[in-house]
Amino acid sequence: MSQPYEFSVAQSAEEIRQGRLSPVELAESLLSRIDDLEPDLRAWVTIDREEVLSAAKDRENDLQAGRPAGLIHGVPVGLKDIFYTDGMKTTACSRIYADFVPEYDATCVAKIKASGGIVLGKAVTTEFATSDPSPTRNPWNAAHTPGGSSSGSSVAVATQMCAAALGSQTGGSTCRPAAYNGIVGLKATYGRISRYGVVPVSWSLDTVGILVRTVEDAATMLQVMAGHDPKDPGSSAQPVPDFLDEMRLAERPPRIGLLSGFFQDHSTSEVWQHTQEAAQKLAGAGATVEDVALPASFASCHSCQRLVMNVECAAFHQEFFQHRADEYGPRIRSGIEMGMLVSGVDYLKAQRLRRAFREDMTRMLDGYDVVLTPATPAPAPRDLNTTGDAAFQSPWTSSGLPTIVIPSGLSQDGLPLGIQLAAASWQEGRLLGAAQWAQKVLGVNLSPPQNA
Amino acid sequence: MVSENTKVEILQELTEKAAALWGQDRAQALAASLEQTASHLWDIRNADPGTDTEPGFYQ
Repeated sequence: MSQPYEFSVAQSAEEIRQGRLSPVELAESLLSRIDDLEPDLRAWVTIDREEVLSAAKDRENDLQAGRPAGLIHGVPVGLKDIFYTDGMKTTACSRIYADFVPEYDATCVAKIKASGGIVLGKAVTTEFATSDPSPTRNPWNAAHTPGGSSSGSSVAVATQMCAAALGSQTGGSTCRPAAYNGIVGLKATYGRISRYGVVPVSWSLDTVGILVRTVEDAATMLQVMAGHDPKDPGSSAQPVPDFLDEMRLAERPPRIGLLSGFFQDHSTSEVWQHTQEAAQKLAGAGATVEDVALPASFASCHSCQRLVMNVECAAFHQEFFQHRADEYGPRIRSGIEMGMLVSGVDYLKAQRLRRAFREDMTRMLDGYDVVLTPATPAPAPRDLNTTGDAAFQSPWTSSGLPTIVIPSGLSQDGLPLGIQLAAASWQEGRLLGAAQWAQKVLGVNLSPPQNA
Repeated sequence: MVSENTKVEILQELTEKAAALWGQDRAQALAASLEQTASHLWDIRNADPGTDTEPGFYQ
């Protein structure tokens, strides 16, 4: 018989709605799961057990009183420790923010609560969501990196400590750890989800990320959080469709553009062969799969992303850094210093190139529902001094286009492999539909040893 | 659009700036990052977004 902690977001919400599972029972099951696994995996910074159970009891009372249930009523959600939580520490896993207690919730956290969700706790991030590795362990093999920066969120979801967690992506910090841990990671279009109340890395790149185990759950969490927020200048006024409906409508054999070139050149032979086999399987099930060429502007997109990230990170940290540089980890420190060396002219050139790149990528997508790449160049590296390679994510972060990673198999070493799909701006429904269809065709549902 | 600076010249310019800001020792410790940044700068200085393209901060 299934334990409540094994349920997806959709299953949990449905069981609660039908009265077959109480929010308190679900919260207790997840807290007990965390007690069992946390000593080995180190995925969490803060868990306020009393607060979680109290919120769960409130949700239970809502149901008993006949108050309308939200989309994720009674479902606990993990938050990367960069999301502001009213009255709860938000450390960004840094010495600088070690004692910071926000006085309000991030907009997306407020939306989760408004939809009936419960804050389960704050998950480990690399320091300030950059690239100094975190103490979190990869559940598939502790000698390999879990990825980053959303390391705790990804590991918590992979090991059923929660069904959904929030991450963020400035380079590859949602989709890369999703791939390394064998789960689903969604980075929506830049501006789709408010970042108000999220500790920034880089204002013009940062995107809230969704980490879940099913594509349907990705759609549900996007529905909960999407929408314009006047408090976030990067937030878009694009209308918010019903993503679950759009996903179902688009769940059919898609027109897929297979990107080789850079992606083939930078993949291990095992990863590239695996990706081709996945593409063939999708074609065999009715998808149209064609090779598609990358635009010339792709050549500088990684450099643009890195320069913009460093400059904006330096701008955000300037005041702290002046007096407390020694309190930063080595990688974020050197990133900030590099940002300080870049001229305004070069920064603006990078931003101009990003805009042209986005237009080229949009043109490239014309005629396709999605394009397909390997999720990462290789499985999670056997190296705890790195968070892995974000080269396959940063073009989408830089252009702002939506992407999703789904698990697609295991490597010879028994580590998760994934594929990445990307769509045109604001086409998350189409992206989710293609991913849902692909997930069913591939039939891969990965589960680390802890879930046995 | 080809930059007049070579990568080596860009690296030298960055290393001098770093040494002036944080001292020679720190500049030396940052050698790998400086080299990477020089490479990124060379890339963007040699790319052409088109004269009419304004920056797009918020995509």
